[in-house]
Formats: sequence, C-alpha cells, structure tokens
Amino acid sequence: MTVAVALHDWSSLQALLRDQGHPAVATGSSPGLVWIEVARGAWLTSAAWLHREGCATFIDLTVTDLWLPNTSPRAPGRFVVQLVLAAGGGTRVALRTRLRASELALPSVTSLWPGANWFEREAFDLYGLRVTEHPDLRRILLYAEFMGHPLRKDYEKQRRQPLVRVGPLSKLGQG
Amino acid sequence: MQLEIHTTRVDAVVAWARKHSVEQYPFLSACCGVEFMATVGHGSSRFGFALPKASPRQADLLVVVGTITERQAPALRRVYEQMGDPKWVIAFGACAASGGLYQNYAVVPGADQVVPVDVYVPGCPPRPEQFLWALKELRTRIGGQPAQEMPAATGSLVRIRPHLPQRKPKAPPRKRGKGKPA
Repeated sequence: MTVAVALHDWSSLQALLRDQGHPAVATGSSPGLVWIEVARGAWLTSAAWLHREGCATFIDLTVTDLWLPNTSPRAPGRFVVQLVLAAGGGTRVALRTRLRASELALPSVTSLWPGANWFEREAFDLYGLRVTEHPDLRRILLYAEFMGHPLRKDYEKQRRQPLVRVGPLSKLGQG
Repeated sequence: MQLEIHTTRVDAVVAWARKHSVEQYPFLSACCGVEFMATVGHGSSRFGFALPKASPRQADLLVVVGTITERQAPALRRVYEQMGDPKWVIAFGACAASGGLYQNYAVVPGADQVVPVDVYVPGCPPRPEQFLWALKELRTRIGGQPAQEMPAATGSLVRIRPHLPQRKPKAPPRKRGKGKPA
C-alpha cells in the first residue's frame, strides 16, 4: 500500500485514535513529508497503524529539546520525538509527539521496525529518552560511566567527564 | 684505502643510531588518518623512519593521528604504555594537538592530556611536508639528549625520557547514569 492510500485513509487513524481516547493533536505536510502529531499514549498505536498501511521502511528517530533561551536555564524542557518513515513513492511520513522532561519516555517501536533499535539507544544516550520494552537499552555512543545526557539543553556546556586525564603532558622545551 | 679513525662518546653513538632507526606506530582515529597514509608515500624512510609497525610493542614512536574522544582515551593510553622505552610521541593534526574545533563533552582537548607529546603538528589536516618537518624535529630532539639521560655504557637501559608518574587516573564515579532504567 502506498502512502497515497494511507493519506486517503487518514480518517481511519483519526477514528482509531479517538476510540482509544488519544485523538491526533495535529497533522500537516510539506513537500515530500507528511506529519502527524499524536499524544504520547497513542505513539505505539499510530506507529503500528502506519506500519500496517505501508510505511515499511524506518528512516530515522530524532529528538529535539525545545528549551528556549529566555527561560530559566534549569527549567524542565519540552521535547519533540519524531519517527521518520518512508512509504514509497518518494514521500516520507513523520510521527511526532511532545513530551515533558519529567515524562520523557516512550514505548519501543523495535517490534515493528527492528532497525529502530540503535536509534532508540542513541535517543536514550544523548537525550535520556527512556524507551520502554526496548530489547537492549544501553548507551550506544558514550561510555557506561557517563552521567547525564549531553544533548539536552540542561546539560552544562563545559561539563567534562574524562575517563583518563593525566596531562597536560607537553614535552616542549625539554631536551 | 686510507683508514680513518674517529673518536666519540658512547651516548652520542647511541643517540645517532636511535635517531636513524625510529620505528613508528600510527594511532589513526579520524580523517587525519587518511592524510597520514598519503604522507607515508612522501618518503619518511629517507630519514630513517621505517614504515608503520603492526604493533606498539615494536615501535619507538607513537603518532597520534586524529580526534581522540573520551571513550578512546583509555585505549590510547594503553597503547602508549605497551611501548618499550625509550619512546616518543607526535600529535598529528589540530585535533590531536588541541582537540581542534571540537570543544565539547565527547572530545579530549589534545592528546597531551593522555600521553606526553614531543612534537605537535598543526593543520586540519597537516600537509605531508609538515609531518616530514616533525620527523626532522624529532630527530633533532633524539640526537640532542643530554648525556646523563642516555643509557649507561654498560648496556643497562636508562630511560631517555622521564617516565610518566604511574599513578592511576582519577576514575569518575562509577554510578549509573541518571536516565538508566533499573
């Protein structure tokens, strides 16, 4: 099933989500991309629906920290998690949800797209997105000793967590 | 053929021999590595620098080429400690010399935070001529060792460079990350 069909049948997702008490928050499109924003509780239902309707290819999973510079630096941020899928015909479909920092958790979509595994680990590693029911939720880029999540805006820019530091060990001017 | 006799000191002969037979081990970690591979073709063996060795245990010169991330730093330190004395280090490229443009949570601000560096080669990436300059500079430094730091004439190996203090690096607290699930 192509994305054209999926869009044509968009209302069936709306109806499905309404039945579950989580109606879609917003939808929209830009050239080459159709997006739908849903409530957190509708994340897995919507993903499964898109998977059924022909979005077979997982492209990306992104997180954005919407912290604004004018607010207090320690204010809990709001986050947008976006799941990007390809449905054939050159169109991409994005599923989005907004989360507060205090509830930065989502169910895993690895049961639908196994390739999402490492992307969810990356979102956990760098943003602290707690992915429930993930088969192997460990840090993927940083080391296990690392504290915090460095791409969040409340991570101090200057904070370093070295594993080895014995320097500076310049030997300039010797010998 | 006329017989010529030259007199010299043992340490000078040892230094002369050393600076003409430096075995190098490159630690290639980023894009500079490709530049370094191209540099090898520019004839470093003319100065007595052999082609890169396969193991740090056989090498005298560690060439740190490319960005060193915090996660890689223990591996770099371990490679350095595997090398026998005497040993030297060249930091190749802006990242190895100072962290380069990466001033963030993931990158070590210069390989000299982890291993002692003799010669810094700036550039992003450095030109091959710069690396040849660094080799020549290192040769000068090896040849110019003060006599008291050279091996004793009896053959016992005295460290040509003061050793690093063998204290343990400060380990960060081994708590689990905040966001880790139970």
